Amino acid sequence: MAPEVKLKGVSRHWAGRPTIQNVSMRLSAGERVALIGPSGGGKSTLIRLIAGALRPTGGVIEVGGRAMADFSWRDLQRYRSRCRIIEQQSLLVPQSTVHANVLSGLVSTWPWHKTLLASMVPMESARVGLLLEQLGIAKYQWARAGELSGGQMQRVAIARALIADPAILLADEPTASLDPNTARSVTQQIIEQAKARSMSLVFCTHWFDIVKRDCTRVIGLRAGAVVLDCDPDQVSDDRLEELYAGSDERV
Amino acid sequence: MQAATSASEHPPRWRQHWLWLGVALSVAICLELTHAQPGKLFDRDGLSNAGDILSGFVHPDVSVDFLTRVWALSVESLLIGILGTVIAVLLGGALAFFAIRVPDLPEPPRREPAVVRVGLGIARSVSRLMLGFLRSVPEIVWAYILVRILGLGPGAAVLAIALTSAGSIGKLYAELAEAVDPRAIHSLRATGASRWAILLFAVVPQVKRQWIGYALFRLECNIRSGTILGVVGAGGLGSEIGLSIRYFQYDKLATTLLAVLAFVMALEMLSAQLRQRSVRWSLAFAGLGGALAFYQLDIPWGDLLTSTAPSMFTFDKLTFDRSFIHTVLGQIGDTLMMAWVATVTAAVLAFVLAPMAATALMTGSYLPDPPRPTGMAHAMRHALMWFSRGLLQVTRAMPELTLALLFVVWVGGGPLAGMLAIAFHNIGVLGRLYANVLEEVEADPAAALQAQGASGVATFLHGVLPQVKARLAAFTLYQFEVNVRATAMVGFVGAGGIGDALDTAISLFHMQDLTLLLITMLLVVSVVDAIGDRTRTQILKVKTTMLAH
Repeated sequence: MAPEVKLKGVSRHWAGRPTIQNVSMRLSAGERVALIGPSGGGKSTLIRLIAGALRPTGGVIEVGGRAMADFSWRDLQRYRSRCRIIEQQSLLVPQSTVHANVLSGLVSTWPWHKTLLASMVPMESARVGLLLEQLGIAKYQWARAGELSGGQMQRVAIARALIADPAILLADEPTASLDPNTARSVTQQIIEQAKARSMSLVFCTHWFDIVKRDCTRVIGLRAGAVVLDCDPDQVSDDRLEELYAGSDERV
Repeated sequence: MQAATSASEHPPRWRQHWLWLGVALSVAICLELTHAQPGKLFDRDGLSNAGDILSGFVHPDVSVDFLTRVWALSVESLLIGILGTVIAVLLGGALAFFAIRVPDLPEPPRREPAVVRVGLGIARSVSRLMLGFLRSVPEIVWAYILVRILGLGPGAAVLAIALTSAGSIGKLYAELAEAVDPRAIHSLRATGASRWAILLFAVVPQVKRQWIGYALFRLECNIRSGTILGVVGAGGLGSEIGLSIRYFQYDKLATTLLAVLAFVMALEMLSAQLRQRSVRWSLAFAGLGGALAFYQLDIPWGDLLTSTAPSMFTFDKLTFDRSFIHTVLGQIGDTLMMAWVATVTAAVLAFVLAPMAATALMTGSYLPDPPRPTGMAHAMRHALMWFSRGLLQVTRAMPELTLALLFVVWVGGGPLAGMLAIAFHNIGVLGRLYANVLEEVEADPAAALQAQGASGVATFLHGVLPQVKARLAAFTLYQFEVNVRATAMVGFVGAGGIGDALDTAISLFHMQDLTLLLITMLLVVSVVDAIGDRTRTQILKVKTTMLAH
């Protein structure tokens, strides 16, 4: 069961300038949130804050009722190991095989000796193979990650995130670098998997239409502030227009 | 590394593991063949000898008299290193100018006349051969020979360092110059500029910084050498190290070693400073330092011309005495095996220590500004990181020969002492090379692992190591080539290998043997370099010129 994550008045500054300002939101277990808004609105920063990968400069992040700032290092690492981020560009190790890249999604759950062994001997081949098959790239299991196309790499990154069965899946415009058809199918795959395994999902995208049907809530970020937080049905074209005003990345 | 195969259907088999097994086995075989017994480090004699040496560090000699002497000798070592490097750069640079191949225009209507081309070709080959020869003879051999010409004192050390470094510097300068962007050369060629004009106006400006960088790197090495060549009577701190070991004065030894450490480290900091500043600072430093050293060291240069030195080398009447050749071959084999065992041992330790010295893996993160760990565990990580950094620093600062002297006391003479000395020094050298490689990794994949809560070990093994595996192997191989030359030196203090035969030949004035030995050294070093060069190119799939730093 995923822990509930609450942000209370959270801010994050970079070099004195705020990217996230006084944001409060809630991510309950099993929720699927579409995070929308123009570029530079602070979506990536928000995702990193939720994952425990970035220190907030103000406010409190609560996980399961406890402030993240009070976590011991071990608790923080344990929480991080239950979250997975899928990035815009898949940050794979190009010199490693697809198999090794997917497997690296598990290392944070392993004791050190298993980690060491896995760096020398291919392990869990069947499990990785099964997941790759669901994503339609099973035949590339032993190819080098650097040789794949953008769409294939992105699927490897998804497999790396899913293999650990995370409680919270954070997708940061995972389809931004893909062509429309691939983007649609990758999006579908992420959402299906999240549904099937009842993860909490934050899906950050410009293509609201694709995710509208499957998400349970919509949050709109603009200039580092939440300007929209409602059910998907309540999002009208007018409100979208307002959210994206002045930017040409329309939905 | 395996060849990239797209979409291969099968998991990689055990090829890499066979390789590792082979390396481990080769080390065991080498230990067996050289009769080195690492157990000697910790048997009863070994421990008591180690205790003796350590006792000196408990009560180092800090009397004013002795400290004054150590200070004077330290300054002398420093000046030896500086003047040696300045001469080496001039000599090596001059030879490099002849050794550089300057490419012609792609399809010129007419090529240079044959006479010129053949002449330049010969000049190039001759200077390359000379550079190779200079490089393959260890400093201590030159020092030992030159002490007989110039007498006891710093002169022999200066020239010895100058000769050996000139070889390394010239070779690398030429390689760097040949790797420059050829367009600048072509455009000058098209104006009809001469070879020298092209070198000065198209090549040198492009490589200036790298040349200075390498000269500074050599300066560090040479000042380390300057602290030890005294063991054969060539001035500097080495004389004191030799004396205190011979007379079991471990308190004096401790003080001297601490002085070596302190001042080698201080120098590394200075050189790091110079590297960051403009070329002019380095030139000013070289000029002032060189002039001061020239004035201060008071070397009897005249003796070089008046002595009967050149007649010592006789290339005629080379006798191929069977038993001598047998000895030489045996010792060459020992030298190669010692260098191999030492390199592998040091590589294993450096492989553990280098990531432990990396901020991003220990106390920091590849993530930008993540929540930081606090408390005891974090303090432990800081402590571990600084311990590894300290260990790498100290091992690197100690010259191989000094360590060889110590290990001869500890485990007795023979190949084991040599291996230990080379291995110990190389923990630091390889550690720094590895650390530099680790700093250049793509941070994103490693950051992705850290974001999911992976530990330092896991991040290193799965996010960092796969990126740099090939480069680490190439650096290690390169260091093996360097170590073959270094291992040839440790025999001079009784630590096994070809240095033993060189020592005998020089001290007994067996000039024919010496000539034969030097030729053999040149051959072995060239063959090892050539093989290493090819293997490295294969590992990295690119030509590697600049592995020195």
